[in-house]
This record gives sequence, C-alpha cells and structure tokens, in this order.
Amino acid sequence: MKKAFLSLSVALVFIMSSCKKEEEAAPKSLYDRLGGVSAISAVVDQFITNVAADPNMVRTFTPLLQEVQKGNTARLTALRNNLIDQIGQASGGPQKYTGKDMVTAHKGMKITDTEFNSLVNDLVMALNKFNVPSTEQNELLGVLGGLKSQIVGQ
Amino acid sequence: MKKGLIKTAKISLYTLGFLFVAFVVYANLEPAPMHAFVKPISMTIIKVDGLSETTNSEALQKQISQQKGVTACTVNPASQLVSITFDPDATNESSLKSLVGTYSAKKVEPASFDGITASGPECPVPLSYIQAFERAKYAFCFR
Repeated sequence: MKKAFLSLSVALVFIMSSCKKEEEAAPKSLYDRLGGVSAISAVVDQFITNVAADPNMVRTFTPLLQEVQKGNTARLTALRNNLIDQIGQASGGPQKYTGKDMVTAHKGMKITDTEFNSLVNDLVMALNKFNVPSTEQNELLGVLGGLKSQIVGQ
Repeated sequence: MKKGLIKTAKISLYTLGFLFVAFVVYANLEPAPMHAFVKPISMTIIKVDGLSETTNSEALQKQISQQKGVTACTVNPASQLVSITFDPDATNESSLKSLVGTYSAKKVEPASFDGITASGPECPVPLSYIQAFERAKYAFCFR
C-alpha cells in the first residue's frame, strides 16, 4: 500500500513538473510582448494625437475634431475604446472588439489610399515613440493591414 | 383612496426592484472590457502660427509631454497644429494652451475645423447616452 502511494506521488510530481515545463516553453502573445493594456492605451493616445495633427487626416476625422473643440469627448472616447479593444483583440489579448464591423463603420466615408497610408504612418510613428521593436510592429501592422480592403473606398 | 396609493407604491417598488435586479444580471452576463479600466481622457488641438521645423517643435513636444496629466502630445509643423490628450482630473485645456503660448510669440488659438464637410455613418442615438449607459453597466459588473 505504502509502495503504491509512493509511486503514485512520484508519478504525480513527474506529470506536474512536465506540465510546468510545457507552460514555460509557450511563446508570449503579441499582446504581452507589446506590454498589455496600459502600453496599448499609451500607443493609442499617441496615435490619436498624431492623427489629430495630421493634415491628411482632417477630412476623415472632421466630426470628431469639431466635437472635441466644442468640449464634447463622446466620439473621442468611442474611438479610443474601440482602438484599445481592437488592437488588444488582434494582438491576442483578453479584449473583445464590440464596435461595428469595418465596412459598416467606414460606409460613405470614401477613404482614399493616401488617407489610409497616412493613418498607418501615424500608427508607426506612435509605435516608434514607445520603441516597439520592428518584429512586433510588423506583426501588428500585418494584422491591421488586412483590414485595408474593408476600409478604403467604402 | 389610501389603500389604492399604497398598492400603487408597492407595485412601483416591486417593478423598480425587478428592473434593478434584471439590470445587475445583464451587467454581469460578461466581464467588463479592458477599456473600462483605462482612465478616460480629453483632447485639445491648438493652432500655432509660425511653428517651424526647427528644434522648437521638439522642445515644445517634450515640454508638454512632461506635464502632469498629459498622456500624449504631437507637434506637427506641417499643419501648424499641436494636439494633446490629457487626464482632465490632472490638468486642463487653458493651462496647456498657456504653456504652448510660452513657446510662440505669434498667435496661439484653438484650431477650427468648421466649414469642412464630413461624410460617414451617424448613430441616431447620441453617443454620450450610450456611454452613460455603459458606465452604469460596468459600475454594477462584479466579474
């Protein structure tokens, strides 16, 4: 009986330690490598200020900019929350994007290639400001770049 | 008469109680999203005449970014605009505007985007109403 108990304990310890090794070996998600929700919200804030000061983005963001200048931050909050959730979800974080799909959200805006490229450039500048390594940048831009056809020309 | 009033009050109380319990159950159907835990921000966009490509743009950006409550700042000489996102509990628009003013002897004023026609989807319900409802929902979310 004692022997059986001892061998069972040894087997359990062995199984648990092997599981731990597997867990340790699992690669970190892009979300974790970016730095989690606080880092993503810092990048999103920088991205928003880049966009707001970008002469190429004035037409697209006019309703938001007009409301912000009148002291109404509802659109700004909605955009920021959606960006945090969307980037968080796309990078493998616990966030769940609950906003409109990209086609519906950009319907009638007639966004051009130049405007989309300026937007990507504003995001790259934000990522550079926080020294996000190029591997993580490319991974994130690859995920978001896939949305281009759903955003441009709608 | 009195009995009728008491009955109406009781029914109202039960209805409100039921609606409250239903709202709490609805608020806890799923965990609050991560953005609910990030502090809300405000933004100001300032037009600065004569903002040059020289180092004063970088110095201004650095100076503003170091201010308490500022979460991000962009100084763009191409558009002559300075945009700042900030925590409204820690700083305010007028102090940021006066800080920008110390860097420019020329005109510093809030940027105007009036007269530009925008197109795109519009929600018939004001966003502020939706956000107030969401805030109440997250306040009762215990997950």
